[in-house]
Amino acid sequence: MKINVYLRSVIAFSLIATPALAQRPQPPQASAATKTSGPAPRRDISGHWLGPVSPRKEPPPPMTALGQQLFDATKPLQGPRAVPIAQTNDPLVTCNPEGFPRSALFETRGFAFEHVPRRTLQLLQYQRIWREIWTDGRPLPTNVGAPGKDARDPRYYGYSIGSWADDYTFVVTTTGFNEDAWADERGDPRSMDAKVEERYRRIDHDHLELSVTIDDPKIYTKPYFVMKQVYTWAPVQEFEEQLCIPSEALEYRETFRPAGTAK
Amino acid sequence: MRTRIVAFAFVITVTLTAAPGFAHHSDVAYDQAKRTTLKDAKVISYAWRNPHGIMVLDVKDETGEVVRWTLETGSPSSLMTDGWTKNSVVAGDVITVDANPARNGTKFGRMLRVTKADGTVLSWGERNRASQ
Repeated sequence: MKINVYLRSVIAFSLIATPALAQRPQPPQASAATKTSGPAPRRDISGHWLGPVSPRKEPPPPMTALGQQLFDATKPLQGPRAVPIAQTNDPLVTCNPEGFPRSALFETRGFAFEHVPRRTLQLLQYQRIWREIWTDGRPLPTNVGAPGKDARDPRYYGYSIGSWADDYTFVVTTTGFNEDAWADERGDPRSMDAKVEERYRRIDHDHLELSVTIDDPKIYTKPYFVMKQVYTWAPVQEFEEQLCIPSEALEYRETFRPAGTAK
Repeated sequence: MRTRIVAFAFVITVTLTAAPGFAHHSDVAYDQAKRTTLKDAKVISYAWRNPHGIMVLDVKDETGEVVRWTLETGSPSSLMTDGWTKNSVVAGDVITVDANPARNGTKFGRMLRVTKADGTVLSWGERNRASQ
């Protein structure tokens, strides 16, 4: 009985600690008012949120032949297939756009939402990128990459629409991707027609849970539930300047190239 | 029994909290099982920048010859998490550095910890690396 109590405590503590300890520590100027979380406001996820560099992800489902081909061509810096920096073809190594959904799955140390008329803006600390999430009832485009003058161009961050599933859950669906970007830092691919769902659930004032699912039949044999991660309210509602600067990134790669060569 | 359970709790907790928040770039070039200590290293330059900082050091080897080492450090964001500031280490400082050395024997490494002349210790991601 005693063991069960301890084990339950261990598991409970571990589950609570995973998201909480992955966050950045509270800056010293945090006000006491932010330390006690109040109830979640209704239909509002605005504000700055903090998270880990790389949230823990589920392994992908089996890939299609095309998906496997694209996956095999990637040489990531992260994950079980990681290579030294001189050997990678990760687009991010030269500061190419991170793209979506990678921006939701990697470098998630800071982001913010602002609700404005007809849309919600997501502001990403990494590279100071923004996403427009349309909330005016428009559908997702169905002609991305199609022939014809009215077709929409594929985009690194796709086309996004959002709506409230309930008073505390904001659901974003995105499609229409430029295929140059990876789905995540491990080199998992996604096609132009992938549909990515983000579900932001405001747990309380200080905690925002994000679940991400990729539905991409061209690449994955079934929908890929990628992750569930809890983000915390930023005590200081302000971004760092976290930029990937091409000249510095190239210098970094060239400086450490000798460290990754064969003996 | 209680001690074993507490130990188990610690392992589980550290394991679950280890992965996020640390690596931005690949660590495979560095031998994480090895720890090299560079004593009385003179800081030649330190670039506090993304994606990772670059710390260049001159260190005397066992024969007294000065050897140049180049270490990768965390990004400003990750180092600030561990209490660093832009001026924590500057050119001209004499410091002792623990690092994971390059697997191929070149004088490169990944900085783990700096001990300054006044005894101040600054680490990078050691909490996250605890279970590695």
